Parts: sequence; structure tokens; C-alpha cells
Amino acid sequence: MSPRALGRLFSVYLAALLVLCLMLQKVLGVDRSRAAGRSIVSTWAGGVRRARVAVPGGEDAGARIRVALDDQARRVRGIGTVEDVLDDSPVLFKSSFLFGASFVPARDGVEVTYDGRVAYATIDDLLALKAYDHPLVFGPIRFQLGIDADVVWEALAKELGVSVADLLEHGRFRRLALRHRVPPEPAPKVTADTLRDAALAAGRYLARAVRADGSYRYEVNALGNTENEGYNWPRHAGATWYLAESALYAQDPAMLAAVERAAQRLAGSALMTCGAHRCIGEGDRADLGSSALGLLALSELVLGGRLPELMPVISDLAAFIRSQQRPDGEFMHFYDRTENHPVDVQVLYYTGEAAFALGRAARVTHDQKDVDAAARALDRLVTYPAWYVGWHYFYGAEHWTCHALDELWERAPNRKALRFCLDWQAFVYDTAIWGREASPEYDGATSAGPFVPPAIVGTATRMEAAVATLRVAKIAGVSASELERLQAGVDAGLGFLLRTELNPGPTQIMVNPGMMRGGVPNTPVDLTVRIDYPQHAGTGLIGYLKQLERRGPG
Amino acid sequence: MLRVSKSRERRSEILFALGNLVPALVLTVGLYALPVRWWPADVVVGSAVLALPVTSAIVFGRPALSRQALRVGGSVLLVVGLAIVAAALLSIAFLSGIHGDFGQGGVTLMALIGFLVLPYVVVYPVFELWWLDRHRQQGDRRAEVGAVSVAPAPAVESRDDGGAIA
Repeated sequence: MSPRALGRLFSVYLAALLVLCLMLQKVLGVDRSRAAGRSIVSTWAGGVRRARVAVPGGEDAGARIRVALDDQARRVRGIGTVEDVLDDSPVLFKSSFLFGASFVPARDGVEVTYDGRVAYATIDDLLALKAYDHPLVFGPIRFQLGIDADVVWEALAKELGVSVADLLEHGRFRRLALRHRVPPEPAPKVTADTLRDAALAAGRYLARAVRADGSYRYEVNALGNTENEGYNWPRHAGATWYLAESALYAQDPAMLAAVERAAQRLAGSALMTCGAHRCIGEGDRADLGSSALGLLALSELVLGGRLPELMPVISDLAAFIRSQQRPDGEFMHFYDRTENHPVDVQVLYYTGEAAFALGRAARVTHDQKDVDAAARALDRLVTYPAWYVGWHYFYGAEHWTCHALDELWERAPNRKALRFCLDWQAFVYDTAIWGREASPEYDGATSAGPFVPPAIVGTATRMEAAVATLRVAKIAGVSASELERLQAGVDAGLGFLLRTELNPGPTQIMVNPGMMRGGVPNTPVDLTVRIDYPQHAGTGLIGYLKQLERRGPG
Repeated sequence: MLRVSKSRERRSEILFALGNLVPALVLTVGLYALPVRWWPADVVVGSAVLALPVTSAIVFGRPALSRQALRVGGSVLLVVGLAIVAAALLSIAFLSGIHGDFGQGGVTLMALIGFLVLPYVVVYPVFELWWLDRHRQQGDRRAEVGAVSVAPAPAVESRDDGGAIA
């Protein structure tokens, strides 16, 4: 075949492909700006749906919805919800993967018509089924698209009283673009009031999670209020730090009592001997992170005038951390308790945590050695090699570095660290989610992939660092344009956190929403709350709140 | 001169044969890693995964058949490449229909995948087929020129005059 003939064939191929693509996009697309064509009215009790009816839209839709809600309320005592159907489109594929990929998580529901009967799986249903939280894992890559088709088919088949095979053979599926009318979707603005409410809710969640023995309900599934296994001392210590900060801010007796229990647990049974010093952890190998965040939590409490009897523990923990420091400022991150020597291995976070903790502890120990050690560590953290990819600290996760910058600025200012944090925040801003048509509520969040709901904790850690950087940037006279961009990132990121905190969240699908209030879930579709999620989110929220309060009204 | 040019062409043939093994390897990994099994995709990609090493082996083992083997290999790769491009564009259209505008991150990711894939499955086989076509034409021309240069001189009647002096 001559090149000219090949070229002609190629043009035909491209034209046909273009037409097919445009047709596919047109057929599958939905318009989410439309008025509701109909509404799905449901009533939930104890996290289970008890009643449902579809109400047509148009004029008097509001009245029809009220009637439906009242009717359900007479029959069932529970929480009424209304989900508006804005638009719909066909589902073209029935293979599990492509069917699942045909829906936007937390925005789309499923309608199936079978033998003249219609069943729905709305956003609430799919959240309750955990059908949106459906990762496909390929080695280190976590890939997530849409919904878990098998779970949804099973639920719809059960609802219609048919087998899944029958449903798939005879059912006609459509995608529904949904929006909550009742309860309305949260859209709080970032103000001192909303920040205070959200920050204290996160603190109260943690306070409720502290058991009588000072340990936490570590990881809880918000839907069933059930606990997952596992415990982690650095996270216990980090959560206690934030609980201390929020409890001292609120001067709430219940929160203060809870944080004292959690702190006494740290300074009690979690305290061990590491050579000449004491450290926090368990087992034969102590990690620096537990002691650093433990030191941070205890220092916060003592700074706030609580538990002054813990001062000797604070001094000893600070001495232990200093003893782990190398001459170049880096820390050895582990201590072998059987052979009594530090282990010169580095992992993420611990050096930043140690720098920050020593800086904060120095406010109560008044020991210049703590400040010097912290300053050396901070300098080491921001003196990275030219080939940054090879550096063992990951650029996307060094929030503790910016906390250390903020903590030390008045006593040991480090401009290189400020530049590091400003550059990092520019990167955070540039790689954040902006303008996702189906989910505009994700604006400002840290992306976990283009079609995937964002990871809330990733956003939270970046925001706490952003808030810390913002305070220093204002003092250090950073250019107005850079400040403005940083501020915009903080406003958008914190706005996202305000929208996704369980404050109160989708209470209709939870067994015990009161226990979960203030919890911060893993993602908007995975409502698992681990103690460090509200800690990171709360730290950013309360940090910005304090800045706004210092600035005063206007 | 002709010998140098021949050896250079042979070297190019071997490079193309080796080059064809790279996409074959990538396609093998892709075939294995696909999250869903769909027999048309398995057949098309599996055929390419088999055809490319076989044609490369022919280039190494049967030099006389090199050009034909490379032409088959390049064509198979181009067809599979165009199928992959079609699948990628249809996937983007599908995701765009489902998600609407999915933001700068999605566009960047798609562009990155496109730039990583296109050189191997479209640009490379097109270049390979173009090279084969060009050298086929050159070969044809050389053959024509060769045919002219070695052709017997036109027959001229030679007559023995018997040493006669005019």
C-alpha cells in the first residue's frame, strides 16, 4: 500500500474515531445544573433504610416531598432524606469493571427497571453499602473507579426479589445524577465561627474516643460504630497533642479530663527505659516518633498549666531525643533496647516530629540545647540533595518540617526552611483538585487521582503545614502575591475539610451518629475514622482560627 | 560502496527486529496486567505478542526474508497501536461522559499516558514501514540501474575483412 493510500486510510480512521468518541460522550453525559426531575424520599433508622418513594418534580414538588416525608414519618421513626434526580443517562456495559466505572463516586446513584418495577441505589444506599469504596489494587498502585458493581447488583436484586443473574439479563440500568436536598449538602464558609465549631468538634470526637485507661478507640467505622484492630503509639501521642490544644482552647472539663487520661497513659505504662533515658513505645525497639509526639503532647499540656508533675518526664524525653541526634542534625530513628544503642535508620516524619517537639518542649524546659537541636534538625531537613527524588523524605508528606519552621521562627529563624515550605505549598496548590465538574466540592483538596475522591488526611496534613507556613510568611515579609496564593490554598483546603468532617455528616446511614460527630473520615466515601485524621484536620483548623482571632474582626 | 550500504541496511533490519521486541515485551506485560479479561482484546494483543518475536526471529535466522518479516511485524504493531489509540480515546470519551470535565490533573495524566504510548505503538511502526517502503523503492531503482549496466551491448555486425586495406 502506498504512503498516500495509508494516509487516506488513517484520516478515515481518525474521523470515525472522533465521531464515535463524541457520540459516546454525548450519550453518557449528564447535566448536573438542571432542576430536579424527580426526588427520592427515604426514611432511615439505625443506619438502615426503612421507607422509600419516588416523587415527581416540577411545580409543587416541594409540597409532594413534604407529604411523602410526613407519610413516612407516621409509619417509621427515623431520619427523612430527599435526594433529587438532576439528570440520568444509560449504563452501556454490564461487565463488572465497566459497569462500576460508569458512576461518579458520591455523586451518582443507580436505577434499575425490571419487569415494570423500579429500584434505586442512591448515594446514601451506596455509602451505606460501602460500594463507592472499591479499590482495585495492582501492587503499589491503588486504582479506584466508580462503584463496586457486585455489591450493588446484589443489593438491587435483593430489593426486587430476583437473582443477580436475572437482574443482569432482564434489568435496564440507568445512572442517576443526584443531589441531596434533605439534609442539604454542607457548604460552610471559612470563618472564625465555622473553624471554631469544626476544630472543637474534632477535639470532642477525640475526647469521646479516650477510654477509661487512657487508650483511644483507635480506628472506628462510622457506619456501624465498630472498631478495627490495631494501635499505634505515635498516633496516640499525636492525637493527644491535638486533644490537648483543643481542650485548652475550649477549657472544656470533659475534654481536659480525657486528655489527662491519654497523657497519663503516655507517661505511665507507655514509658520505657531506653539506655540512660526514658522513651515512649513498646517492645524491644523504640521509635523516635512516639517519644517526639509524646513530648509534644505533654509539653502542650504543661504549657497550658495542666499536669505540671510531668515536667521530669518531659525533660527526660527531650534528653532522649537529643541523644538520638547525629552531628549533622539528622536523628537516628530507632533505639534497640536489648543492646542499648541507637539504630541509625530513617523513616518518614520522625526527624520533623523531633525538631518540632524539641522546639515546643524548650518553652517549658527553657533549655537552649533543645532549641539548638531542633534548629539543627530543621536545617538538615531542608538541606536536601540536588537530585531530590533520591532523598529519603518524601516531598508530599513533610508537614512536620513546616510545623518546626513555625515553632522556631522567633527563636531560630530559618529562611531556607521558609522557602522550602513556600515552594512545597505552591506545589500543593498546583497539584490540588480544581474544577472537577461532577464534584466541585473537592476544590482545594489534595488529589488521589483524577477520577477518585480525595484523601482527606492528605489534605489535612498539607493544610496544617500551610497554616503554619502562612503565619511565618506574614511575619517574614513574603511578597503579597505569594501570600495571596498561599492564603487562597488555605481557604480552599480548609473549606474542603469543613465540608467533609462528620459534623454531623450523613447521620442517616450511621448507627450512632452522636459518637462519630467531629470525626474526620479517610475519604468522602470511606467513612473510617482513625485518631490521626481529626488530629491533622483539627490542627489546621485551630491554627487558622487562632490566626484569625489574633487579627481581630475585619 | 554497494557493500557498505548493504551492511548498513542489514544493521537497520536487525535494529528494527530488536526494536520490535520492546513493544512485544510491553504488550506482554499489558496483557498480563489488564484488570479484566475480554477475549477480543486478548486475541488481538496476544497475536501481536506472538507475531512480533516470530518476525524478529525470521530477521535473524533468514536474512533473505528480513524485509517481508519486518513488514509483517511493523504492520501488526501499527494495527495494534491504532487499536490501542482507539481504545484510549474511547476510554477518555467514556470517562469524560461520566465525569464531565475532570480537571487539569486528569488531562495531564491522559496526556502523559498518550506521550508515553504513542511513540512506541504508532510513530515507531510508521517509521519502520516508511523505511521499508523507501528501501524497497531504492532497491527497485538499484535493480533497474543494475539491469541497465550489466545488459549486453547492442549487437553490432562484425565482419572480418580479411586484412584488406581500403
